[in-house]
Amino acid sequence: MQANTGLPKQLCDLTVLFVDDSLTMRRIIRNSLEKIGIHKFLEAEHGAMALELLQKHKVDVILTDWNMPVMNGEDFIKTVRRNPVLKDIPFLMITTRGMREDVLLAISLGINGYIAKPFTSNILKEKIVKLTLSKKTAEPKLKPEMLNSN
Amino acid sequence: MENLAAKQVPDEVLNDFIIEANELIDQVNNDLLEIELGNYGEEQINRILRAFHTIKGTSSFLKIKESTKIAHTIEDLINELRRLKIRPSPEVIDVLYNTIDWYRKLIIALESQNAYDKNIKNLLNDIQNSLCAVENNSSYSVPVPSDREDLESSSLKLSKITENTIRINVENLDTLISLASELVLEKNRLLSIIRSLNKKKNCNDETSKLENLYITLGYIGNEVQEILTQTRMVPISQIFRKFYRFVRDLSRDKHKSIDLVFGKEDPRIDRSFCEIINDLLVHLLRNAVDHGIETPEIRRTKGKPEQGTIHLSAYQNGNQITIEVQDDGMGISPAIILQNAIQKEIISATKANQMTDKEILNLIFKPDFTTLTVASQISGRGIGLDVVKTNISKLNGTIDIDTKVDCGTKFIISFPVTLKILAGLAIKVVDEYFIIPAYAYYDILKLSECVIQESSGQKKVHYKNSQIPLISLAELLNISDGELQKEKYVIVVAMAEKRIGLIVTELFIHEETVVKSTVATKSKVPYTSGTTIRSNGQMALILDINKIIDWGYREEVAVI
Repeated sequence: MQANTGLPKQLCDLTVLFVDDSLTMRRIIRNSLEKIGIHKFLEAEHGAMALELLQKHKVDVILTDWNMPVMNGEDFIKTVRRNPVLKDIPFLMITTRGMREDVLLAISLGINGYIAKPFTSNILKEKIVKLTLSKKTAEPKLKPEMLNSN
Repeated sequence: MENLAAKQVPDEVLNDFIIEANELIDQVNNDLLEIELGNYGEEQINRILRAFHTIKGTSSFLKIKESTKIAHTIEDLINELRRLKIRPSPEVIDVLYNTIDWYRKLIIALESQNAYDKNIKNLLNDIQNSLCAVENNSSYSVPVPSDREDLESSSLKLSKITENTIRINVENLDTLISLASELVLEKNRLLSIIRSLNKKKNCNDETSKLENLYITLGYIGNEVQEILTQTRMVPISQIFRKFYRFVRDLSRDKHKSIDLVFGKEDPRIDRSFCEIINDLLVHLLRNAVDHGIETPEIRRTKGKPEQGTIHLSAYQNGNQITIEVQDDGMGISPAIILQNAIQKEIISATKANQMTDKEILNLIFKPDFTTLTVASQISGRGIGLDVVKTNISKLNGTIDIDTKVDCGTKFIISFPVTLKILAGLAIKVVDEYFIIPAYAYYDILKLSECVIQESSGQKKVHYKNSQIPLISLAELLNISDGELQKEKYVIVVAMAEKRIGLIVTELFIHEETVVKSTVATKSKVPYTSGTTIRSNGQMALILDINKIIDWGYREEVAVI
């Protein structure tokens, strides 16, 4: 589902796709989503698996890890952004502190936000709300100069 | 501020972390091994990097600060190696192995809910020093082959395997195998019914339909069982590979230079064997490093290459797996074993004269022999060898030794592929049923045609130009006497080169049975190793042929 339909949405209406090769991380993300009231989610272990899911399901926001086997975050977002149907889905990058270069690259590829591990479910909620609910149009893509304020 | 990993981490997250970290650390270990073996490429280094990256992220949620810190520092180190495209030096590899050790301890501590080692100062220092060394001096290093296409195709291959693989709880799997086994038993019961119908001459359409059903059921049952048994199997290289580092560290410790070479074949073994095989290989390889291979100086004077070699190989032959541990060290001299055995009164001098070299060598597996403290080439050789033998009997296996002074020693271990399903010969002793495992029985003789001799209270039967011990199972197992006249057959059983004749009352056809109690719960009835239900529903005990043969030959050695 495109995020720019303009209709205000509840968190519980959102479908979130999260992509991470670590089973522990997937469990942590799943737990936090449920905690903040999101119960519709899809999970994938890497970009290629996520792309398959995107063909079959409408997704409102994507959370993705960066360093993954088979298809990493970089190739994944490039593919999504090139796809006319999927290109506007907001992307939230999951990263760790100190991965500045990765974040800069991700920004140049069009992520809409990033979140550093370890994060709390409240922070995750804020980020998701910011990307999906508060604006009539999709959150403008991040620019490198915004990096420090985040 | 609330935190989803706050003070109390949900058990499920912690469990996931333990499982995942364990897998990742195993995989890093394998990649390091590959690197040591010379297969160094982007693939390995990226995988190691990803593993520590994942661990860094997850342990930050679990608030295991030490792990986050170590993983982070390792990540820096690996990134630097990757950036400079250099191969890690042995020193750097050591540091990585130490890191793996720390993580293994962490995982064990988390599993057992104990405190883990929080003193990581030394390890962190070592990692940081390695990082400095890598940054400052890359002259010792060899450029990494960067082969992007190779990398991509191989990572894709890997992904196909992972996509088709799921994790299963071992307990569930074992239950499934158990159920499949019941299926085989029920199928055997069906055969009994068909047979009795045939006997009653009730043969009609229905009986033949039943027979067809039996055949189809058998086919499906076998398939199910085979696939499930396969699922339990793991490649033996999983055990072997761990010893690369073991031998490397131990030989460095002993100031010896030893190369551990693996065989080409990689048979799969029952996963319940892993621990036992691991334990006995620890003993055999330690012996080979400690006492088998000489120091470089001695080797030079003998005209051998300074570096010793240990070959560790395994292969499958029918239902048997054979593992060989061969060193090119000093070998064991039968004369010295004999001298010490006589000295310690394990055997008599007269007896000693009659013993073949093979029999003498087998003395080193005697528990008594291990207590010998001999300041000679065999010192230590005996240590733990009876433990090795005990472990092998748990596998229903055998051990053999082949050695030549100054050329080396070879231990040959053989055992059946799996303990779960056992093909065997059902026998009756007086009125009780037993199973003789198929791998042990050798020949069947009619008692009435046997030539039996008796000397010093022991019966022997003439078999193929030699006299082998003859044991009455009724006597050995204490089954009601006075019925001995009923005995009709002698079954020759063999383990390694030892043969023995067993007197039994009756024999039945070869059948497949499922072993009910295995390694963990040894049968309490002496000379048996487990129980099983026969096709007619009767219970039968499985004979422990190893023990019976030992008993038969015990007299021969111990009588002075």
